[in-house]
Amino acid sequence: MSLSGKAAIIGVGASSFERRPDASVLEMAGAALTGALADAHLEKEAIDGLAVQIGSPRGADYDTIAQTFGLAPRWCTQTWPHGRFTATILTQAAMAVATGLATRVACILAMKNSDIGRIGEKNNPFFFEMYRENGGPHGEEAEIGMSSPVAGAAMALALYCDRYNADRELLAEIPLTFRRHAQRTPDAVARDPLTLEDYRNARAIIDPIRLYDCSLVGDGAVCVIVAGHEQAAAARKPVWITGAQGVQAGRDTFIFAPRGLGMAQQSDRRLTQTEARNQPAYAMAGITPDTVDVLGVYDSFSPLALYTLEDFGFCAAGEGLDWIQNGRLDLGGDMPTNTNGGQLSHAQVNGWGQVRELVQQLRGEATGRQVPDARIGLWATIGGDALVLERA
Amino acid sequence: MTTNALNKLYRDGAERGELLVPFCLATGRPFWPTSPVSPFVTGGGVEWRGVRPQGMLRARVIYRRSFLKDFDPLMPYGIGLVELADGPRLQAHITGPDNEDAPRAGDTVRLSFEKLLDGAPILTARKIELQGA
Repeated sequence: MSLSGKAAIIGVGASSFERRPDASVLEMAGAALTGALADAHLEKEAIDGLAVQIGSPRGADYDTIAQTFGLAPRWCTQTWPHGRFTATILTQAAMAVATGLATRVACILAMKNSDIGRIGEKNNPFFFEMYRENGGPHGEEAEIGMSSPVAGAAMALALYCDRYNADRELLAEIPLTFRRHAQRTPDAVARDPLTLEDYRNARAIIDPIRLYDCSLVGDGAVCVIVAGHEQAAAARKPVWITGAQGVQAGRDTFIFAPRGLGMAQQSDRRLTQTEARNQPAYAMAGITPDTVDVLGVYDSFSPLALYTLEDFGFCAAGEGLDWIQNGRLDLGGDMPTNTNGGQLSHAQVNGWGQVRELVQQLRGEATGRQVPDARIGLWATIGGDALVLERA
Repeated sequence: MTTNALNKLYRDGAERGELLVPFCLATGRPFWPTSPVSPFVTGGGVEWRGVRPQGMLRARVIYRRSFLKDFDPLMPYGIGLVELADGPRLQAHITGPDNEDAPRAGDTVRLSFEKLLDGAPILTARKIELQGA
């Protein structure tokens, strides 16, 4: 059985995204849930499934959310509190409604980072990951001083630039483009103009990653309601999930690198463009990258957007930096990408902001930044997970 | 990570100044990260052996901001991705990464366990000139 067309997104909602150390993360989750229910024209009693990403201590767990907001789900799930699980949560919800485990699943990311320490400090949950058996999820090894997810992103970028003899300065196009998009997005947290000079002059965090290559750690919540076919068909503007694929793992993967870059124990064999154009999500939806109207990519660090464009077949391996030049990712460009500003400028909510943006684009409701006649949207991450979304 | 069955042999070797990695008994191949079973062959046996502490620096990063207080005395420092001459890739510390003699991508490096801080010795990469090069 294919999952294609068996489920749709029928409502999205969000809290605001500014840093609010005195606010409750449940307040944020509540704003997102209430917003999504209103968007879907539903009462809370219509929700019989609950899927949560993050959880405590940064977020709220599924049991707390259900109890706090008076939900009575008969199907619940919760993932590891990291980015990269947006498509996984939504796919699990789609599977649940497609198989009758639930009819409408509220999928919620809620997290608050403003009241915990900075990454590397002991009151930040990431601190203990560098002491994990066999290292942290981004290559951390506390024993040698390899600390923070930034370092893994920096190492992959250094390796990429060396392998392709690439001009690292060309990467500026990604944060600059996404900042321009954020300036058109009312609830984006970083809307000040960002110039090439600003980008180049910004301090290095871990060379070669600079300040504006990093997303903004902040607070906020997003809720996406996924419904089964019958419920979705009766909804106002359903956005159908027509393709999906999951997070990948194994010795040929590294969380912040394309397949086969040569990080950690990866091989040196990159995907051919033909392989990249035939990713399972494309095959499930029966589309190619050429038919995607609007793209959302995971961009906790700017190079991740670059690699995703390569691994999902928009350009060939090693050619991404040239490909993204001249406004290609802009509104009006060949492949409008992260049209709300992404994690780099809209909000760092693990990509849920981009999925919400894709839904708004496909409904024609992205006022001030609408991609004309957007019919097919793709959410894709360098972790391998992806969703193809289509309007009816 | 505290010392346990997974890393004890590596750490004991480090204290002696020896670089040990696990080898898959079925294929004879060394591998990393450590594992109680071979990642190459289902249930494959594992034996720890010494490897040549030499390899090629594939890439490096430089910490311009401190993320780990214990390492503040070493700032700015680098971390390198080293492909061992005998196979797997390891990450190693790089001291004084802005210095001329610091290793850069493509350089041949020697790995050694150095007492850079109080506590366990730290796997460190230093540039070496190949004879005849």
